[in-house]
Amino acid sequence: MNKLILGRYFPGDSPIHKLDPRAKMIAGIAFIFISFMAKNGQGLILLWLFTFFVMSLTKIGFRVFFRGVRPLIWLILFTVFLQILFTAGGIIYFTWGPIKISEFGLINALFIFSRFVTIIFVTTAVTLTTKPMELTDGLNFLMRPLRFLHVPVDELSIMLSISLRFIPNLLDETQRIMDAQKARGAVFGEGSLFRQMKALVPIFLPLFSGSLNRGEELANVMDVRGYRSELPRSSFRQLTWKIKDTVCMFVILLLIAAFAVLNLVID
Amino acid sequence: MNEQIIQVKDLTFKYEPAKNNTLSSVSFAVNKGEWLSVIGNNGAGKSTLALLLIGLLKPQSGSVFVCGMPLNEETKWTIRRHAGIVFQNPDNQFIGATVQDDVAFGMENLNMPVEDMRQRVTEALELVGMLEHREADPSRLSGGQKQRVAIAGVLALHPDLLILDEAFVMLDPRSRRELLATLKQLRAEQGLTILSITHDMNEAAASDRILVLKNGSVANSGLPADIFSEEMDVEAPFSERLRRLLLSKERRTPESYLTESEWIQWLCK
Amino acid sequence: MQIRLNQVSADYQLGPVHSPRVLQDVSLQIAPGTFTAVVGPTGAGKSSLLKVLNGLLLPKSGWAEVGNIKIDSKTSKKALKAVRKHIGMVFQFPESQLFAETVEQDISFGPLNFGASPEAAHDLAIKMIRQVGLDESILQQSPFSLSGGQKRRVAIAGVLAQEPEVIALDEPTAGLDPSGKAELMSLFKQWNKCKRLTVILVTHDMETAARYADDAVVMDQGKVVYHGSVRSLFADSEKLNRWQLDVPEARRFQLAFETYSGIRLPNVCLTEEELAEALIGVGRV
Repeated sequence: MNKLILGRYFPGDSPIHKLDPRAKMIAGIAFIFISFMAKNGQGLILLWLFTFFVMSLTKIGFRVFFRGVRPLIWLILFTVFLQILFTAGGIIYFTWGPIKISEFGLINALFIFSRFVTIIFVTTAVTLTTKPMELTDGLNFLMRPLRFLHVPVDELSIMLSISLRFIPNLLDETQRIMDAQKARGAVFGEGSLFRQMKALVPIFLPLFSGSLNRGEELANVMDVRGYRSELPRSSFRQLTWKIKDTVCMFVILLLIAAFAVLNLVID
Repeated sequence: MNEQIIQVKDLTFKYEPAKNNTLSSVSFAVNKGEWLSVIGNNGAGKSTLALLLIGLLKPQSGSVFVCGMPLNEETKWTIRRHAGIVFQNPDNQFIGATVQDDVAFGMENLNMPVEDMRQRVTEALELVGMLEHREADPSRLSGGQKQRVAIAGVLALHPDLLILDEAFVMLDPRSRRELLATLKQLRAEQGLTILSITHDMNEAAASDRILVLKNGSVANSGLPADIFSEEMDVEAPFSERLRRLLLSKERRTPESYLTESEWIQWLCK
Repeated sequence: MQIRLNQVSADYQLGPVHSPRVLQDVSLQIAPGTFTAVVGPTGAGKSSLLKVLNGLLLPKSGWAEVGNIKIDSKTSKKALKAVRKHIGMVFQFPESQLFAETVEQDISFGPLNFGASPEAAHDLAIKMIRQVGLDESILQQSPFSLSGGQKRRVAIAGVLAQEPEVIALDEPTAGLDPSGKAELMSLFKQWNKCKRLTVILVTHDMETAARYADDAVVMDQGKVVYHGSVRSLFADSEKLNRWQLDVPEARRFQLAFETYSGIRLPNVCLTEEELAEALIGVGRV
């Protein structure tokens, strides 16, 4: 039912798996910005080298990463083609009406493609090596400064973790309800778009109603177990920052420095 | 003088805007260390009673004292540190991402330091036999296992009172038996006071005293043997059903409720 | 309506979760009009067995036959829909599948899907709501406004409304109190006897199996390890032990009595009624 590899945890004990989720998330987000620092051929090579380095460190086969790119490949190719066909600059190789295939266009396309794909690969490396709960823990920590803006970070965090916890349940229930309705002669995925949407009502409504029920029961349980959002709460789940995490941050800084140097030297 | 963990006086409640009371002038007490079962047919108000005792509902009139404290909007938070409840649906009370996270939830709410939490989680999981599953996520657990975790979550707070609101009704017969055995053990080892709302007569038979609710009022209370012998329209454990059947056929039967082994001895006299 | 499985093997797939060989080389024949309990430990494949019967789970190898419709890995969607009319399936906690605006609409969902006219569906709704012991006035209410027990009956009425020849039940009495259980099970028993509805019941509750079913199928690790009468199954303590099946209370009482007293009762007692008769028969009461 869900083929999106982007969010799926892949068990393992590689160096990347063992990093603190905060380090990984910071590194991942930093990388997105760093990728824009690649402005020349050497920068591009560095970008790809670093990406492959991270990918191989996860000890997860490259095929899994490629599967993560696949859903987005059309968007990427579309953007790339737009660049190729409509950006003018430098030597023009081919013209036909509004279409101009030029040197700039091709180079830009290469850079855009590289950024897209390396960003996907690196962020996938983060989500493949970090359990969803760890991601929430990391997110919780990173969102802390937002408290000053009166954003209810702790509530959002607990909402997120409870939602995550119930995803397998939702999957199960959806399948069960689908089976039950199929057993009563319901047909899914056939007919006009309208008909297909209408056919989903016997699935969505029970799911929705069940979720509302569940929400109410959970709220009661939380209440009875003393949950009061306005009072300080401790956290059983603890993240411990280790030396390897500092090393990770250091590597990112090195990468930034490397790009900065490249951009200074080459030009 | 036996300390009373629960004192209920003239408790009356109805769900607005209904016309009839769900509970009418219910009064009873539970002594420290006692196991009281509350039985009664559907609609008798059993679950409503549980919700009232834990402060999720407010009665129209009457009073509830838990651990010597009057239950009201202010005290309910304190009372909930001494009394815990386990509901019927194993999934809809499992909040944590893993077993140990869930057990810790109540303690997190009390802002307890991590080291204390860690110790109590281990202790509680040991008591319910779930220690080896401490890092499991709920999708891999059976209903019985999830209910054990729920009980552990309550035990971690070292409560005086455990309320079970038909906690085993969604479990298969085997899990029910195993959990009942665990409860008996907990009671023996920890001296826990238990109030269990149930329609499982084996569960009721294991308790010290039974309270019978009918149409929202207390109809009877007493020892299991007495209740099973007296209350004809309430479902009974197997040995009692056999006795009633033979009675209706006007056969020689024991005069009152007997357990299975007592029955067999009686048959061989 | 004859039901046959011939060397059916099947895997189970739900999203990323793949369970191989939930059914392994299962061959089974269920005669029309019988009341069969399917028992066995969790994960034995009981629910998967039911799902093969109405094509919710397609065999990887082997085939199933319901009436004259054959189900194998290549069966068309059309054929599957035809099968589903003949096999009504009641899942665990069926009340969670209700969705329509009114009870009548929900009950009519099945019949309408299977080609009944709106008038026929309307009549069926009235007929079935009575069958499950509810009043007609409930037909215009929203299913979400009903109590849990009523919802369950409405869901069952919805399945009955398809007028199936076979009804497959997966723990239909889960979560009910003893009287609710007895009421529901006697309805199924009644339909089995009076309408000659073939009933296939998946359950963990040996009391229910002993009291209501005539035949039993025991499954273990995807295989059928026993198919015979319920009575012979419960008479064989070794088998019950081997497959971790609970002994019904009456039977347990009987065995304890026989061991203690040395007196053998004339027959295998599966219910308190049979036990009472047997005890009377040997003059103990």
